Amino acid sequence: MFTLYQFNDRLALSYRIDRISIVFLTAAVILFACAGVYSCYYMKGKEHLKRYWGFFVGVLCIISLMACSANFFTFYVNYELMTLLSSPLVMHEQTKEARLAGFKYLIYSFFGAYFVLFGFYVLNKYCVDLTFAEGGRLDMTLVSGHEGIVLLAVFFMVIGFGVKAGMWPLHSWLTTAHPIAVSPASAVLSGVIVKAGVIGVIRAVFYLVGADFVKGTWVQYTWIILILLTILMGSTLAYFEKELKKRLAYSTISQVSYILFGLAMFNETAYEGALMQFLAHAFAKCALFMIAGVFIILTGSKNVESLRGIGKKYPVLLWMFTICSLSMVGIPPTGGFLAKWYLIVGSLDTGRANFDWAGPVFLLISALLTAGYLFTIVMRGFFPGEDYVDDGREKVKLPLTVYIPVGVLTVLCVLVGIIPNLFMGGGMR
Amino acid sequence: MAISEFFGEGLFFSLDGLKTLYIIVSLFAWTISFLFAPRYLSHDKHKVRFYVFSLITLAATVGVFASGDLFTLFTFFEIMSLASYVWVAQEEKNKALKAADTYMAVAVIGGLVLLMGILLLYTNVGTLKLSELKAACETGGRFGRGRIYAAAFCMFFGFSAKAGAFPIHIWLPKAHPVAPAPASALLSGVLTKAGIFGILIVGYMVLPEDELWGSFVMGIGIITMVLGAMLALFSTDIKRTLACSSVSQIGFIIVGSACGTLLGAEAGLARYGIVLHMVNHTVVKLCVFLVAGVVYQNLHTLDLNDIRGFGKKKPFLALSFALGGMSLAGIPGFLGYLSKTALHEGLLEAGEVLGNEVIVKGVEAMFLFSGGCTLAYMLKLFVCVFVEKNGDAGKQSQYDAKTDYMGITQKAAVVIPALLVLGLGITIAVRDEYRFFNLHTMSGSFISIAIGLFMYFIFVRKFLMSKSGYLNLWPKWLDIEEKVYKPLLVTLLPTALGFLMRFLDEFIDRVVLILRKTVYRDANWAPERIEGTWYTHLIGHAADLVKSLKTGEVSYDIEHKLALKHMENEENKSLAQRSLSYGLILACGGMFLMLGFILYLVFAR
Repeated sequence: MFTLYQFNDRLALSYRIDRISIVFLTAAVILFACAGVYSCYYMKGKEHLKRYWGFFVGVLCIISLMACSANFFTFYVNYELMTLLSSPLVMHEQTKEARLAGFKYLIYSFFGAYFVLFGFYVLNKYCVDLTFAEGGRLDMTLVSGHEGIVLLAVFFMVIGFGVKAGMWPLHSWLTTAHPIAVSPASAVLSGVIVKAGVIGVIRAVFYLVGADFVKGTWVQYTWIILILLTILMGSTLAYFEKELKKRLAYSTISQVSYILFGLAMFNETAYEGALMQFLAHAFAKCALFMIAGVFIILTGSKNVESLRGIGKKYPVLLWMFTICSLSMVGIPPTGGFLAKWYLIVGSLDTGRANFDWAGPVFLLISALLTAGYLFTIVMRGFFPGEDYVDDGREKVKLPLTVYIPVGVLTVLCVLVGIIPNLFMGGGMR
Repeated sequence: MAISEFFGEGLFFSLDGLKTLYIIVSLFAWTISFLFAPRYLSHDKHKVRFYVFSLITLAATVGVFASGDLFTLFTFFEIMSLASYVWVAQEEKNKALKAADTYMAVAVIGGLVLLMGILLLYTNVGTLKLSELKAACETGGRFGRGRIYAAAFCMFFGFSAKAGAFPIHIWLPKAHPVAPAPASALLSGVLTKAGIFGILIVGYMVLPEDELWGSFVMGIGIITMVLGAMLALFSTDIKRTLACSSVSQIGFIIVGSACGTLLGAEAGLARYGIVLHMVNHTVVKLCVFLVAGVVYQNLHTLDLNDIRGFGKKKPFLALSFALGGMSLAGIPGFLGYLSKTALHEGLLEAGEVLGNEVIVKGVEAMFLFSGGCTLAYMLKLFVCVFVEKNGDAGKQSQYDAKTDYMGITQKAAVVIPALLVLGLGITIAVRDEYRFFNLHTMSGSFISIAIGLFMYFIFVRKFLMSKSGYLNLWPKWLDIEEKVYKPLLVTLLPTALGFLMRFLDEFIDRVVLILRKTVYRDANWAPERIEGTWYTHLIGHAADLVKSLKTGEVSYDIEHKLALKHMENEENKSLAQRSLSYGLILACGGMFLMLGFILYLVFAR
């Protein structure tokens, strides 16, 4: 453990690498690298590039630091900094909508952060110290008699970090901010920054409080109910959404909740499934957002309707879209399938008392809706039908700065399904 | 054979009699189909796509049959389902795409329900290995037998979606006519068998010798069998007839599997019948679908009234079709006779387990009736294409003049399966292990044939035909997909769900909106207080709140407008007050008052 600065005997900025750090860093670094290459294509000719690159790299730095935090104080500081540094990426276009969306993002994030802060204050009192450790750092002698307030603190933390992760009810910044942000920014926003909320939940619940303390309490049940609602809500609204990037944003809401669902089951298999979903979704959704950005430039329209027949002109791009969609729906042999397999096995393993079958049913209904909103794009893209008329736009030769990052991510999201041990930081069970 | 760590869980393969047999049959079927395809697809722009996806599907199908546990099976099953989508959509016509949508929807829904079933089973009994499954399921598992029933039901649903059992047979009659013939032969011949393979796993390993399960599957099988036969009899499209016939034959196999479940270890005959009928159906469907393909590649239509008389002077084609059709209808001497007789005997044995006389007789009657219908619709097709003359004499002479209507490899592709069913039928009959050739066992076949001839000559020729040709009398409104599934799954459920979810989605946004209208007003956006008075603000505010809730955006319009209106009034008032004429009027009024007062003083005294 490396300590950067010691404020007092409890608060210190210190860093250390463990399994969660590795998984998160893997995702973050690969995604930022790909999004960076992609930015060379997407941001070409745009204004304020220095500002964009500055904040882009800044966010990556702070996320790496956050991933390696050794105690909750360090984590919280980096988490807040990440929120601040990433907001210029949302507002980059500087239109009125972009500014309002960035503002909404900030307000929601801070609102969530205050929830976390409350939990932080309470737990500070009841923990031995704030250093992360598997199984938690609660001082049971202090806690006894005050279980209620500690549980409330945990619940507030879950809700607070849930804001970033897009958990109902404080999810709506996602669908405002993602479509407005520039495409590489929405790619990392959805791939990494939303996941920071998940990491927050893991750190707070599994590394600070301890899973055993929360298991079987009202916190777990409320949490599961909120997540199941979110999963269904995200997929349903994505199914009805006509704007491509907004559809993907709704999809993020539902898919990231899969991860939270795996955590909320407090089961080892489900936990592995959650981490795998973490990676699979990060790769797939990042690639999808990038492809969506290219499609919007190519067709000049944000709407899903305009993607009809796009596979005739840009088959490679739509193929990548297809493979990522397969992972999102959970069709073997992609990462998303294996993740779902472990999530459901874990959930069913817990036995009757913990909604063991309700969760899988929701996951599968959501998967069906996911197929409904992603496969339709693919199907109409490759098979537009007889009455399809070409829109007359000339076929543009896309540079390698598009194909390479998107291709790498697509390959990775399949590889997660085929050789998961490589990615899972320390190996599966 | 196992590939551990691959796909996380590791892939596991194993082989036994049925699996090996079906791998061989699949390879044979693909070979035949690929012999046929080049000429059929010669005008298709996307040939390469067809071959690539066919090979992917072949690999996945072999994977399904070779898998040693349900994880591996599911993995390949899904790949097979999705890769074969391209077959259905291959021609890119709107009708094909619509059918492909149905196919995809059934494949995805079936796949997800199947996954749920497999996982329910896995978490309950702790193993997915086919070799250990039977023993593990007999113990009841961790969560009791109820879970096993739930798992079996989900798995049955998923597999029967691919097999084409009622009520999810909807994709077969739609997808087969629009897919290219080499593909429909494989879809019907081999892919449905992958579903059957799964149903057999459920019946023999998950719930062996379970009377409840056996009866349930028997019910589904009978409905599928009879419904498919009726649909086939009514249809006036050659490939649609063959597709519905597939549904019906799958029904036979499912009935057989139910008998196998009921009889348990004593189900020798039923198992024999299932395997034979699977092979028979695959090989026959290869032959007859490819004959339909020959018709289509020459005429580009499948309607019976148009293709009538096409094969009149083409004895080679007629012979192949006749051999295939006779085997499907169970004429003694062919493979189909053996398989149907074995199934029939198995059914009678299973009837003894069930015990109820009336039900057993009823089931047997249905079985024979469906067998008869098989003969009737195959006869209908044969007579239509190869015996009758076309109503249009010009067309007939055109048809007769066609010489180069099929390639040499296509001839091989059509005749090999046809000869195979005859050859297999004779070979097995010569050995005759189960003694199928005596009066008792043959009587079922004869009854069936009698019913078939009756159905054809009385029902088809009298009711389903007019002078001008074949009539499509199946009521249009009787379409389970259009009437039940689409309204329910595409309109009703999503709309209701969408409404509820939209409310949840906007819940916090609405709360924020109300807060911004009441407690947290945006200081710089609010109107200046000087304009308007307390009552204009109150009324305007209320109106704004209503409007914002309606549109979803914060609105200050009405309040602002009211205040402005009020200010305008005030300004007008003050302007008037300051004008000269106003002063004069006031002065006048004052003078009148003064005058009145003076007059009052004068007259009052």
